[in-house]
Amino acid sequence: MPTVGDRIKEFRKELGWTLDQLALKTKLSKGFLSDIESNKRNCSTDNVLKIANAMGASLDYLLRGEQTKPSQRRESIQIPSSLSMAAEQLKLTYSETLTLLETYQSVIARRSNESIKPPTVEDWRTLHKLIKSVK
Amino acid sequence: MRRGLQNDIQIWKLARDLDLKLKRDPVTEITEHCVNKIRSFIKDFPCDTLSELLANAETILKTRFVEVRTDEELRQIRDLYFKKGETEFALLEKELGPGVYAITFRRLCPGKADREFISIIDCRREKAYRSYFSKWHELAHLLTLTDQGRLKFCRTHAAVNQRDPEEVLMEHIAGEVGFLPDLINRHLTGEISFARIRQLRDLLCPEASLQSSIIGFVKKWPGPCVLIEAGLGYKKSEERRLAQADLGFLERPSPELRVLHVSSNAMAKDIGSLIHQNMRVPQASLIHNVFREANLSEVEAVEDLNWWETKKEGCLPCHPLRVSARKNGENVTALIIPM
Repeated sequence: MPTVGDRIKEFRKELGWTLDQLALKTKLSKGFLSDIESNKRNCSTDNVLKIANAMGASLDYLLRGEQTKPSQRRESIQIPSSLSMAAEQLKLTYSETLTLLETYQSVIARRSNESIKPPTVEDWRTLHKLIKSVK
Repeated sequence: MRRGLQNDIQIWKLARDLDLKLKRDPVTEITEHCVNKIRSFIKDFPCDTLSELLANAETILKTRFVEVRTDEELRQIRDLYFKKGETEFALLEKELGPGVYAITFRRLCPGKADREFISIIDCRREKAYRSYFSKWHELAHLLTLTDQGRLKFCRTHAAVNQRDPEEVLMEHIAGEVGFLPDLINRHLTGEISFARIRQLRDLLCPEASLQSSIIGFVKKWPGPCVLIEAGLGYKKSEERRLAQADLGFLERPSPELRVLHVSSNAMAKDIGSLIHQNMRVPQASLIHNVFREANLSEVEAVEDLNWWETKKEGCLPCHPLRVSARKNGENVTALIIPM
């Protein structure tokens, strides 16, 4: 069963960081971090938070090994009429249509000076085009 | 700002979705809900500075800030995450237009140690000065995150060219939690000045711009203080004339140094309400000197409230003021402190 120390070590290596780099970013000593990674010492939640802050890792994962689940499709899906029209025009499959909707809905916040308008058929077409262009 | 928001249906819906018992207006209740959440973070993970609090809140609220400083960096980040299956990043360039400062995505394909969200903070060009507030703004959204359906499909009634009410509320919340009294109050001692604000900024939130620090600390200062932004402007009637002058019918009016924006903290509400937006800055005030002279960056003087006058009521009542002014681009930012 992997421990907190195991997960910290694994993610640190995934980032390609040395213990020195992690020590510098967390302001914790290299020896202390080494002891945690080799399970010689326990790590307080305060220190796990410092490490998660530095590495940009999920606190739940480092503490308990809980992984972030991918955004799940909802049971009841409400497809806006503008998207239905765009899907029809673009001859999209149901799955492709849902991908467009999920992509759009993954924007959960934006700091903006502008009002937010509901997407038009043209906006859905643009989004589809953008996804294809980045691919 | 808040009066209009209190009656906005979108704000009432948000309060309802957050399951808040509305004993007061929804803006106060939602703000308090967020402040209490942040306080619970401090209780669980004690910290001394606003920067530490920001980093802790970022992790606890399961997002990761990614700062973008150049157009090239933006494209690199877009491609990097898109390749990881995050199709939402295709939107990045389009979404981060001139009026958008930050955007938060729910990750579609997170890695096992990745956080649930990712917040792209636009630090390109002049947007960099707003990064501190942009981060708190995005966290405010996460503090009030409810069912996504409401966020997406209840925005239909927002009028074009009018800011989304929820966005305005998030700005208000960002101002409250970004300068949380619990962490700053014990430092707010002595007389307020730009130098003191700079010191506090360096100590508590070095990432914040001086301008946002001025706004944040003035609001929370325990003594009275009015903050004004002065710049060239016209009277309402002149603005109307100006529109006609553009058509060549009338002589073009000249702009004068006026109050472009005014805000006062709770202790200065009485005086703050007397100095209002668009009021002409008195010729004798050092605000004029700072505005005119390029080499006067920051100065202070004792003046009097009765130098200020309105067309309707004449001179304002006598009251000695300490005035500090500093150049802020084309404009002047001034602290007006009743003595």
